[in-house]
Amino acid sequence: MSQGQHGEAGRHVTADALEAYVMGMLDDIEVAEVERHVSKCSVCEQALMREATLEMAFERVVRESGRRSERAPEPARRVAQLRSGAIAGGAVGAFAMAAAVILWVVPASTHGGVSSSFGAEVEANVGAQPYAQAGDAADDSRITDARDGG
Amino acid sequence: LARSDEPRATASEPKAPTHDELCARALAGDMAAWNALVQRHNHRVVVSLLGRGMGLDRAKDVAQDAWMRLIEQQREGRLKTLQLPGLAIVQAGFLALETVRRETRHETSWRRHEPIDARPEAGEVPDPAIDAEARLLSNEQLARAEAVLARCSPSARKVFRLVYGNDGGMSHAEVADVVGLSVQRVRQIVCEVRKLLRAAVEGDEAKVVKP
Repeated sequence: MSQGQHGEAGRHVTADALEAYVMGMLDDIEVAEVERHVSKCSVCEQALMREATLEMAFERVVRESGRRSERAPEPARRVAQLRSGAIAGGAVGAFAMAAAVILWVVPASTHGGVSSSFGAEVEANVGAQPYAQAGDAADDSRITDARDGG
Repeated sequence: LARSDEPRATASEPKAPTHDELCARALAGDMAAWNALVQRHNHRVVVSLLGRGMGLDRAKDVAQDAWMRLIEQQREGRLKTLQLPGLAIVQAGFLALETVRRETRHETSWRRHEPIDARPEAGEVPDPAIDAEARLLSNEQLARAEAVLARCSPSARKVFRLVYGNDGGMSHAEVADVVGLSVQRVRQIVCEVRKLLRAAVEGDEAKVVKP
């Protein structure tokens, strides 16, 4: 800003000077010069208020964009949690299934009696190696984990 | 007016107490520390009041009152932490609101004695309940400005966030130290980003070129 633009000649403070004022980029003498004019000139005072409003608005923009970027990873974290939960649930389910098969088959083969046709079918298919079957199921679930997780 | 390179360059001066040290000393009742903090942050407080639509002279008075209140609170042992300039800005905001409420009440009772056609329209009396932040920026303007900021280069964004973040941010000299640029370059970046955001807020985005 050239000299005299906000002096006694009555010329207004330039937009650059007002911007520099709100940004704290003027030295003490320049600040005093701007303030002397602004306190007597309602046009420049209004312009200064608008500039200050904008300055405060920029702080809000930074604050809001910061908040948004903090929230941004949240969906990704949620998906990861859901996926790990599903995987853990799958593994637990597989173990439960294997345990159920063992509980179903072992007593039947031990006591020699088959109570139903479903039990007979299970005995025919897996009864000879129940524990191997359970172990296989667990191994399968781990492979799925690795694939899902990777 | 030429833009000064030195007004905020307090942190880089050798042996000068850091901002945190000043705050700690002020909390312990050191008036010299309070003076240094007022000297450093008062302008920001005044600008925040101007941004609320307060005139310059009154803004300076209210800012002064806000500092006095903080010092009183410290002396009464009611101030446990001191985050500046944010706390002073908040204190000044409360005082500004109080002032507007008081004046609105006074104005209303005084106006009762005037003829009806001399009374102001409803819109002319400022509503103290209006949230100052919402008045600063509509959601649409905010979204536009955020989009523009997101499109700036990462280094420009970082500089801008350091200057305008954390309730008053850092001085240009401090930011220059942090990012390893000259104060002049930091100011150039801030001015460029500011120009973009101003255009975005004022709905004139197409006229400005990305830095």
